[in-house]
Amino acid sequence: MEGIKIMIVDDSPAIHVIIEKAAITNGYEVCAHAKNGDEAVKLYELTRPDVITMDITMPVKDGLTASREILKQNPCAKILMLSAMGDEEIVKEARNIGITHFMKKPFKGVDIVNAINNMMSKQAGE
Amino acid sequence: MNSGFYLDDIDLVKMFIDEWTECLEGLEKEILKLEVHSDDIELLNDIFRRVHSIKGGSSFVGLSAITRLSHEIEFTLDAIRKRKASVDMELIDSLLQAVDFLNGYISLICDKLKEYDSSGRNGPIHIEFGDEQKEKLVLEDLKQALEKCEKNEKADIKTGEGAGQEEVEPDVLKTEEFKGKLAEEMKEQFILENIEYIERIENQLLIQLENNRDDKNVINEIFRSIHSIKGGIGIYLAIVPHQSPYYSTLKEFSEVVHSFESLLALVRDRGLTIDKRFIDLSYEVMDYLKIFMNTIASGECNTIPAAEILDKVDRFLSGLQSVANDNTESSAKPLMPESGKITGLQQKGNIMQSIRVSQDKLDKMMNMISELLIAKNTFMHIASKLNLEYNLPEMSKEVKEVGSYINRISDELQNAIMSIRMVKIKTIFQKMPRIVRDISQSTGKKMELIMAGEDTEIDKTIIEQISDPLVHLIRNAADHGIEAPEERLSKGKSETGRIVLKAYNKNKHVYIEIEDDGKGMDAEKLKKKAVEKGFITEMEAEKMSRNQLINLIFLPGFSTAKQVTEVSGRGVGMDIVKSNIEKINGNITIESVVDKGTKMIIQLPLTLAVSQGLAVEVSGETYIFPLEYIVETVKVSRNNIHKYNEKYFTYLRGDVIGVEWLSRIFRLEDKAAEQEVLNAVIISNGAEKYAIIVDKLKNEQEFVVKTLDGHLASIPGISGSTLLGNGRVVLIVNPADIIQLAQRRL
Repeated sequence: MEGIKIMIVDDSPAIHVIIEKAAITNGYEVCAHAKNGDEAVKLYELTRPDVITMDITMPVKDGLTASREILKQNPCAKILMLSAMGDEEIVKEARNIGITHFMKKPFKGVDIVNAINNMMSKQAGE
Repeated sequence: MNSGFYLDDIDLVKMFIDEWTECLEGLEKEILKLEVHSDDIELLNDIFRRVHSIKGGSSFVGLSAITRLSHEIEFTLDAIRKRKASVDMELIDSLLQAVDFLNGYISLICDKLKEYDSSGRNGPIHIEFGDEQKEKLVLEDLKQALEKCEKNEKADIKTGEGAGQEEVEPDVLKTEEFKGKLAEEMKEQFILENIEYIERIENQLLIQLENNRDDKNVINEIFRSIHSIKGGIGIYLAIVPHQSPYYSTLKEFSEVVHSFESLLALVRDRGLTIDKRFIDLSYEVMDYLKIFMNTIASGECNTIPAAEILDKVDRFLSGLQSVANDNTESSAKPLMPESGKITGLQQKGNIMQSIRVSQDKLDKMMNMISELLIAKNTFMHIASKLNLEYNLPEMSKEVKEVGSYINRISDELQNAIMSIRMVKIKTIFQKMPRIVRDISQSTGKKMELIMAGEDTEIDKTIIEQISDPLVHLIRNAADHGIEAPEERLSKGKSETGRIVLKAYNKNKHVYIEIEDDGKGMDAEKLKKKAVEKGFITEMEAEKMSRNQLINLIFLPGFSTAKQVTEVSGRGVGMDIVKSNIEKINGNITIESVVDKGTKMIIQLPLTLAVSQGLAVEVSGETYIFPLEYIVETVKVSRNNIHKYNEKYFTYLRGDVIGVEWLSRIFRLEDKAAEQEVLNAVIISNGAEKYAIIVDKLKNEQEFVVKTLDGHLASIPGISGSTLLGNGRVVLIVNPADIIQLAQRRL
């Protein structure tokens, strides 16, 4: 599972640190850091990460809109959506646009790694 | 219940705290804005996002109290956002209270972390929130306010639905009546605007589209026009009374427009080809819209059958959707990929233009620059030594050149780093509207706060230090300065009091002025009180100037004893304000006219770390006077110094001015006693001047303030130390203290 490129999308730098730590110790590469949805869409095009961890509530452009635009660019983009308590409605909507992987905040670094492994092995199985 | 808990990942907590502080800054101001602009979705979203990210973050580090509190706030905000609740003052108050509480929690953690850092301990840290009971109250309050607002909103809807059948509640009626009037006024504008849009679509855009069915721009143009119509209806609907005959018709109308808009959006985004059916339908929709507008304009209340046209549009829409879904892959082209790319490239330069740096690092850099400054001064010292002691003028010149080169670089470096430390004064100004509002609420006085120069920049440490004094002064102005409305009217002033808070740069200083147009200070009353309380004797009082009398309020214990009201009785007296400002080499002066108002002027240095000073010699020791306090230096002849009542004074250009020897103040050996002409440094604390006699005036130079530690820090008259170019440590004099010491000496 080495060499997987991850893009972290979150407006909170602390979350970036948590995910990056976990990712690097597992041999993943963090290829892009985006602090809002707008940056995420642009950076996606430039860096083409394998997996995106996507926060929902962000300034400029929220995670749902950004995911929608990324999926438009590449319908096979793998997005792991990070939801918080109270985001249930948005999660529902996200399922409608084809996002299948979710993670509830708070999570541990291990959880993220497991989820990413899970997402990648599914692809391999397909 | 025990709310204590352990934090183990301290670094992570610190990062989150940084974020939260940023989130909380400005939150208050935005909530206040909400009171007026409760419909501003952007604003609501931003507030929501801030609270949401605090909630998210706190759950990571296990700060459940914060998660709980922010969740409740978020819940309330969500209800407002989804229009389940209307916004009233009570709700805003409870929201603010809850945010205050959140603020309290976070600063508590901050304090604990600082304590933890200085203790040098390792391992987890235990934090206990003691305000469990109070938190419950705050949350209860918030819930009740929300429930009330939810009920109000429901009542609104009910009366709307049951128009004409049920008795309407009187207070609702009032707003409905008001709405009705407003709606009449807006009607004409609303109709004119929409007819303009409709005619443009009908007579121009649709024809263009028929001629060139692939023209994306025309589709976009139609979409925009329809969107504007929809927006207009939304606004109009909000003000049309629910029982108005138009209301239901308008509702239908807005549904038609909305469906048509969705249809256009679909066509536009999917890049579908446009056929005749679509254009025909568009014409039909335009016809309907026109008939509708004419009916509204003529004032008839015929209902126009909207069902038919709505049905047509919807059928067309669902037809398109099913086609589109069948071949998503092929038709789901990205929306105008070219233009998307261009904006992407253009904006790329804007990403990551600022980075967050911890203040520790900046402080460290600043310290290093200070060292460089000292090293720089050494060059000059060596140069003169080479010339005078070793007689090597050539060498001296070279060293001097290198010295001035380094001088230039270090100057630039110093300026650059100082500019990094500069923060806009906005950060403290923005909490003032809330303070004034609170006081206005609790006292029933009317007042407005006008702020100017919020973008003025000043060193971060100074910002931190000036915050509390400024809050105190604003409170004073609002609470004691501004009179009650009746009193103001009887004095011939406007009912609403005005407080002006402004900041500006002048001569390497930052000035902050707080001006109110309230009752001002009565010098005579102050005099009486000061005598009564034994601060001064009656004899002294008679001799004091008006300015000196007003400055009496800075005496310790003078202002706090005033009638303490709920708001300004928070323990900081004017003496503390003054000493806090002086601690950062600032200065405060007061101008006040009875019944006209009071103006406080605070002078602050741009930065704390580096200052200009004058080096003087007393009894063989060198001391430095900060330049900010020096008015001038003069020579005074001994015969001109007179003794009266164990105190010395002299005449300086017609004024009487106190004289004291620095050697006497510091209890040093008095070497200048025999001199006939004495060197005096005239210093001022804003209100009073004093002549301080020294043995020798040396040079003016830049110096870096190093604070003294431990018991040395509290020595009166000394504010710190610095290193000279020759490596010697000298003390920096605190002129404000010196004036006090000189006055007290007998």
